[in-house]
Amino acid sequence: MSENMKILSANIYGFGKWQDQQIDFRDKGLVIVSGENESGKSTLRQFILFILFGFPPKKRESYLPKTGGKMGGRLKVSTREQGIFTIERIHDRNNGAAVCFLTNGVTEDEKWLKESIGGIDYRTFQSIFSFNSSDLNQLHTIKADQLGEVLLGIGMTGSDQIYQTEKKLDSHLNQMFKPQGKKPEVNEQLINLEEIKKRLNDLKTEENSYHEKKNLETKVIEEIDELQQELTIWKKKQLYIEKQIQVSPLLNEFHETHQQLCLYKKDGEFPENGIDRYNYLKEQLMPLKSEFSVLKDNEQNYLTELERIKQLLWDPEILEEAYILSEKSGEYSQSLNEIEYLFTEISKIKKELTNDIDQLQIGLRMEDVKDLSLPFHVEETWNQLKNEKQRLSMDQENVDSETKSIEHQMKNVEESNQRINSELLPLETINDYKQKLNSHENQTKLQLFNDYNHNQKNKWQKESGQRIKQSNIVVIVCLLLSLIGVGTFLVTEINSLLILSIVLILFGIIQRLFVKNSNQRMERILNQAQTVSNSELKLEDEQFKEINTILSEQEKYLTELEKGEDDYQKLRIEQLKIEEKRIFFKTKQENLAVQIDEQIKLYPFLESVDSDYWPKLYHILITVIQRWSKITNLESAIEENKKQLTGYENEITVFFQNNDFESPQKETSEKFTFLRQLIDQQMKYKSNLEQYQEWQKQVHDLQRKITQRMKPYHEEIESLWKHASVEDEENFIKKGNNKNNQQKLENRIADIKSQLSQVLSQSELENASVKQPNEQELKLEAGIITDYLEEIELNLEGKRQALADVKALLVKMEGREDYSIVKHKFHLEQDFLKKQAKKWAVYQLAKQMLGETKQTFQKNYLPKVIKSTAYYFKQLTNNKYTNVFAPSEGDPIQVENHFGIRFNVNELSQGTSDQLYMCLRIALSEVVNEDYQLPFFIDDAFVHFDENRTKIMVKLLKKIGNEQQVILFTCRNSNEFSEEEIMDLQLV
Amino acid sequence: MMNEKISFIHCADLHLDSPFSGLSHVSSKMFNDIRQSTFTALHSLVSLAIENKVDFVLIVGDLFDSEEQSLKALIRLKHAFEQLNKYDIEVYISFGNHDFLDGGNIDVDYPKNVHIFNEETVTYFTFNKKGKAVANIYGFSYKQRGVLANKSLEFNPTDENVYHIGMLHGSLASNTEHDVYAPFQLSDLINKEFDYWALGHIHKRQILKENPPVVYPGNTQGRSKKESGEKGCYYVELDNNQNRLEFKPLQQLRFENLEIDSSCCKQPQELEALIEEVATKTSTELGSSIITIHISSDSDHIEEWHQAGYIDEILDYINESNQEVEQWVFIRSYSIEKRVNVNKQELKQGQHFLGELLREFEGNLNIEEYLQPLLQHRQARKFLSPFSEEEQEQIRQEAEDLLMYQLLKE
Repeated sequence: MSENMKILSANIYGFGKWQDQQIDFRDKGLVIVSGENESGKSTLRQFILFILFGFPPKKRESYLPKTGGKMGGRLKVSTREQGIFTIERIHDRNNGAAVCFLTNGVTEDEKWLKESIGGIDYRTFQSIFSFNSSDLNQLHTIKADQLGEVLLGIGMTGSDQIYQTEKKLDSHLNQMFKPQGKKPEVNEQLINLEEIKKRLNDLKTEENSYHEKKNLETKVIEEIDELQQELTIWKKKQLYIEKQIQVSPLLNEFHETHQQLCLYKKDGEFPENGIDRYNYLKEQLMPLKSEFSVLKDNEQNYLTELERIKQLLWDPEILEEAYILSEKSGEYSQSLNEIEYLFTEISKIKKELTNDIDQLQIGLRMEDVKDLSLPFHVEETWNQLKNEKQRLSMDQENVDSETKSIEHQMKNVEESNQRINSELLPLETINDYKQKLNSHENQTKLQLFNDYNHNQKNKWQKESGQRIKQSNIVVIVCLLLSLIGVGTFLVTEINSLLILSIVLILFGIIQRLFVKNSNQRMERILNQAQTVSNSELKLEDEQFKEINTILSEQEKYLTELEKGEDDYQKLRIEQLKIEEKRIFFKTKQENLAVQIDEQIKLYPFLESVDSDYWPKLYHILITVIQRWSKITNLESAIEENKKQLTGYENEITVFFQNNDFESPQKETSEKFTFLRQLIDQQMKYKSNLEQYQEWQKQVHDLQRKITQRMKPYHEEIESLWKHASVEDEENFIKKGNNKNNQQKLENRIADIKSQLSQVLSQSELENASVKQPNEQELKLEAGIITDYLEEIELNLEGKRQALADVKALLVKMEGREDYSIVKHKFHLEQDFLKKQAKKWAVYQLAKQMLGETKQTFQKNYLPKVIKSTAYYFKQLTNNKYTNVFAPSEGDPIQVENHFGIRFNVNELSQGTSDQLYMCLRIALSEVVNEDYQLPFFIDDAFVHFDENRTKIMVKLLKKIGNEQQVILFTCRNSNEFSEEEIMDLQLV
Repeated sequence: MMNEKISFIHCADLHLDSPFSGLSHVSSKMFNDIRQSTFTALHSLVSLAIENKVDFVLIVGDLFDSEEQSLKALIRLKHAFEQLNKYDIEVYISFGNHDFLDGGNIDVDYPKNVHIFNEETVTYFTFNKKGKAVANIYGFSYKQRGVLANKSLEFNPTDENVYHIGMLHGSLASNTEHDVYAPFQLSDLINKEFDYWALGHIHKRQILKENPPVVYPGNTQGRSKKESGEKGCYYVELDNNQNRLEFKPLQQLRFENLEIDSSCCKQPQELEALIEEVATKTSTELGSSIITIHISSDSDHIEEWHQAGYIDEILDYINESNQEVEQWVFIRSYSIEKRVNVNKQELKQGQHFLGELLREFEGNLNIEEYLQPLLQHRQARKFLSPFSEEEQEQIRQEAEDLLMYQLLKE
């Protein structure tokens, strides 16, 4: 233990009612601050606390000086470790933080201060180092067993808070959990969980039953399988029986057939499909055979036919003869035809001839024609005559027409001459008109001349004007030039200039005069011309024209008349010439008529024909004569042919007679035709014969070929017979039929077998073929099996239902989520319980720790406190009471006097007990905080103390103060304390 | 000679229909989502396999929990396999410590594409592709809950020129975080001529080695605070010496741990807004999530609000407010970190009661002893698992905080 903290002096700048106050605590252990109420004790106390620990702003503000000025101050303290230093705090500086000034000049801060005063804060200080009378009173009231509690309250936290905390924790804990309770949260949750768990277990059990159900399902499925297998087996059996029943007729037949077959088994060998093969061979042979027989038949027919034809055939010589004869038939018929043709020709020509003669109409007869001959010159003669006659008549005509035309022309000329004569005017009139016309022409010419002159005059007048003007200008120019020349002369005195000027003037004047003269002359000429005057009478225009016309017309008439008289003369001459011609022609015509008569005499038929047509007649007659000769030729040709015909007729008649051929007709031509027919027939016979011979040969060839083709079949048949050990077809077929029957039976058996095999299995078939079934027995067995099957099916139905049920259940279970939900819920609730439990655990631990700490605290500190109390109490009571005992087991604190007698605290006087508590309080503080001893702040603790006791108390405090400064705040009269300790605030 | 390329999905620890831990009162929708989540993950797995046209699916143990195996889990599993069977995807299954063979598994008629390792000794199946053997898949199943032997030693590939794939449900001998089953050394695996090691049992995804791949795919759906983040499976392609691994998430909801600094909050309402914001962000970004909030603060308020139950109220309010939304967030719990500690150390030095109390807490505490009334309670014993050390520490801490708060309260 070393020196504790001591407050040396305070310098208040301003704090509450205090201002600029310097208080010195004079380095004393016990400082008594006394003063009346409101003297500022508490404020001083607060000031010291403020400087030491600082105040929060709000609290600081309540101590701002009422009179203004800064709030704060300094406190000079000394500590064991740091020595003397000064703490300064000012309200508005650094948020009221402390500044410490050390003696060595170093300045430290709040943190340093805190460390220096042992880390104790305001609260701790208040609870440990500061107490007042009420605290003491409290000590009085506490029960003995609560001393421990009081002890707890000395320090950081008040006993009340511990108590409150404990109470609170208890209440929480009770609310949460009671081991036997039901209402608290945890208990409720436990019950809840219990229920959920139960549900979960139920569901789990149910889910586990899934396994059983599943097993059941498997079992039932197996059972169903077994039943189904059995069912199948029995159904098979049933089917077999039914099949047997069904096939029993077949089976019976099978057995019968089998027996029959056994009979046939003895027969010997027979070629495979012998009959078929035989039949096949025969079938193959049949067409060959029939073909062969057809060929044979044909051969026979051919032979017969050949015989017949041979008999019908002639000898070749006769045939040759007949042939030659028949060749002549063409010639014969040709002759016949020719005759016929000739006859028709003749009749045709005769007809034409008759026509021709008839057409001529000249009285010519056929007989005439016969003798008619026309020499070659006749034609020419006739032609000449015709032409002559024509020419003459034509000339005659010409003369006639000329005569007429001339007569006509003469008449016309005569007429025109007469007309012109009538139109002609008398000669005097014409002359008169001619005179008039001449005078008119002269006058017209005169007028034209006058007009011309007048025009010339006008022209001239214009021209003379101009001329005068020009000559005037020339005069002026000459004058000017001469003036200039004179002027110049006057200046220069050149003579030539003067001469020139005079010449110029002269020239001008001459020129002017000349012009004037010529003008006058011209004018005169013109005026003379104008003097020709119009002396004669002038005709009117119309009149003139009319006279002109009349004159020209008269002239024309005269010319025409002249011409007409000329023409008339000419025509007269012409008339005479024509008259001569006429006489000439007449002579000629007379000669011609003589010649014509001569001809008529020669050919009388000409008489009725105009000589003009004689040439034409000549040509017709020539044709007629030619035709006549043609007829004569034809008639001789007919004769010739008739001779030939007779020759042929004899020939054929002889041939027929010689060969005894009867001709059905008598006509030669028909005989020829018959002969032709006969020959044709013979030719046909001949070709037939050849044909048959050819066929006969072919038939032979075919027969040989067929025989060749039939040979292998025969050989085959032979081999078949040999194989079947028979000699003929009959036996072969018989044996073959047997074989066939056997085959049929075998087939039937195979058929039955195949039918059976459709119904029965191989093994069943074998069984059935061994034993003949008894239908009756089978039916009985079938009945039994059906009953059994029904039973199985019923069973199966039941199992299936069971399976469906269990399956449905399984599906339902598979679909259910209850277990999952409840499981999750259970876990959540369990977690919630855990959460609650944790919360509870916190309270529980807190409570337990609190309790335990209390115990520890009491156990550790109480003896110390009692010991210290005893020490102080002994001091205070002047050794009257030597010991103090802690309360225990219902007993309160006990004290022991120097006689060793113990008293309960309540047995002590008020003052003594006060003292005891005072000691106890100090001891408590001491013990609780023995390391950091700050000054004790005691407020009016001695209210109930008498003067004596107070003195003792002060003495005690003084004693304590030696080790730990005590600052006592009291309102007591200061004289109760020894002077040196008192610091009367009234005095300050 | 080259082998046909194969692709498969490697997953493990489906724990179908097994309950979540650390959740208490959730809304019926959340409850339903949570309860369905392992199945939904399974469904996603099947879809993934079909979509990627994989050759087969490897499931390396712990498909479900035998102890609480529900019929639903089996039926759903069967349906999933039937679905895969439709697409000719083979399934290879080995059972682990949770679904060990003798664990009373209910018989289910799995479709023909399912190949189960029915023995505890290592056997193999040959996978044929296009009529040609391309892979041998080796594996074994737990007959009992515990397999303590080093099973990796039993894996011996044949000398066929095919891919050799090992399915091993177990843990590294050095891993003591989990129950150590079928312990192996990484070198045991690498020394064998295997093309792929499909591991299971550890719920945390990790690739122990790249070549040949030695892979824990993790579980397919997180079920507790510890199994946070993305969960799923690996899509694997083996193409002779090439291999390609791709992690594919399958989880339907996530566990997330979130940090919140509430230093700026002066009022509980501000904290509420802050937490709400974080919750909304989480649900938007990560989908339905179960989150644990870690609130840190340098203000004294947080302890006050905590002790006064304000934070609980805030969380209850937030949880209630998004009970029925499609993508929800459920805040399961929170913890508090007070960066400004009361002068605990100083207090601890004091001779006063609080100092004594703190010293008491510091001492060798047997917490369970204090909790006997509940732990020994007949009913509670049935439903309450003993507190883990971590939990005990939490309780100790919370009790201390509670007392400090109560005793120092003015």
